Amino acid sequence: MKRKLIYILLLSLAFLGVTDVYAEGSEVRFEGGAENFVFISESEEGDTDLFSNLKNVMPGDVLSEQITVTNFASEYDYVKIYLKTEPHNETNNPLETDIKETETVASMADFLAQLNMKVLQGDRVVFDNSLGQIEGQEKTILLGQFAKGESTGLDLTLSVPMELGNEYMHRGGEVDWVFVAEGFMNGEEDEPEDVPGAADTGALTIFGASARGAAITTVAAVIVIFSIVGIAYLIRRKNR
Amino acid sequence: MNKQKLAVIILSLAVIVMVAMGATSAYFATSEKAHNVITSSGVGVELIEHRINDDGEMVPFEDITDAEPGEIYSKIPQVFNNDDGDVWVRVKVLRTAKLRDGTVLEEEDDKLVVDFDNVNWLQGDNNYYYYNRSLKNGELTEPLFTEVKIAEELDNKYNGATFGLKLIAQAVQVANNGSDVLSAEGWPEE
Repeated sequence: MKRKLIYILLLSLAFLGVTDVYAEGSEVRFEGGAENFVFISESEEGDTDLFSNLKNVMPGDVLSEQITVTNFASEYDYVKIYLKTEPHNETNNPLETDIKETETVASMADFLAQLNMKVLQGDRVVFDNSLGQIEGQEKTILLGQFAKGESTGLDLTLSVPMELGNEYMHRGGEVDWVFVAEGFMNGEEDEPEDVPGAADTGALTIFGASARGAAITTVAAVIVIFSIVGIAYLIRRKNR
Repeated sequence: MNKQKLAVIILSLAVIVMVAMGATSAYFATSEKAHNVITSSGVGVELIEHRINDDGEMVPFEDITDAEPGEIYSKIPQVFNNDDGDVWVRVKVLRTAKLRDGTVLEEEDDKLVVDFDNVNWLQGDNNYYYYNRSLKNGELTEPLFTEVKIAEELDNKYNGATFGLKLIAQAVQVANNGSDVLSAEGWPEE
């Protein structure tokens, strides 16, 4: 009975330990598996909008936003997570949110150009420029390497000039950020190779597994299988 | 050592080495896009004018014709915040008289008498009256005044004249713009 009580207590403590604790601000959670990335935000525009505080801005506003990026995947020893800005254009990356009802890519770019954003990762300056410049160019930034449970924080500050004119009342802008995760097992890292059908984003190939990595796995498996068969044969032969 | 034992040892070492090398070095890459949205607010006000009719009901104001000197007429102007942002409000009051010969006289304050609310509205320069607190979205100010009277004593030149009481309402944002209406900046140009 005493042992049973101890087991119940230990199980209860174990469940307490696995309860999720949500960080303040928005969250980017890499869950791995089928869930991939999960965005958590209180924005009325939906979970894919991490800028929950940057709404109804007024001239002179200086607004903050915190985004926590965490690796929750258990199938890799560690993951590398990147942040990539993706400019809009009318064909390859059109506007997706309700902003498209009142803005074109060009008018939105004009609005964003009036605003300044500074993004810090600890003491490191990730961005510090007009949003027009940040949104207008494709840039990939490595946020770090994370074992399961490890995270990093991004501190955003949006500054709205006091001189912002009436023509910028009731305007909107959409800023696309792509979060990329590469999962690794401990050992030598393989750099990704171009895979047919994958989207090449400059320094990074996404949506593809390494072809070379797959070949090594196959050869290793064949060697192991033949070795096991060979040992079994020799042992059996010896016993006869 | 016979050949069989040697083969077993070599094959075993091969298995151990392959496992130790971590030959399963394949990795996985994936991505997800966040559509982050920034929106701006706005300010806007609407001038609303009512009067009390003969039945004591508040109805929309209409121009008064055949007004008599000394008679008091009901006119109740208020400002309504019809936009998102909190605003500071001011109203410019212009009192004019257009004589029968077409001449327009301005600054006819003493000919067109108004009972201004001096508690909720502060008189400023250039015929501006400032509402003494901020106005939130959907709020209505207290009336700037409630009655208008043509002066009892008028020169003959005012016979057949048309008196004008023109009101211009303006608003500026409260956010980042002073602690009271008199310190606010950015008012629209006249």
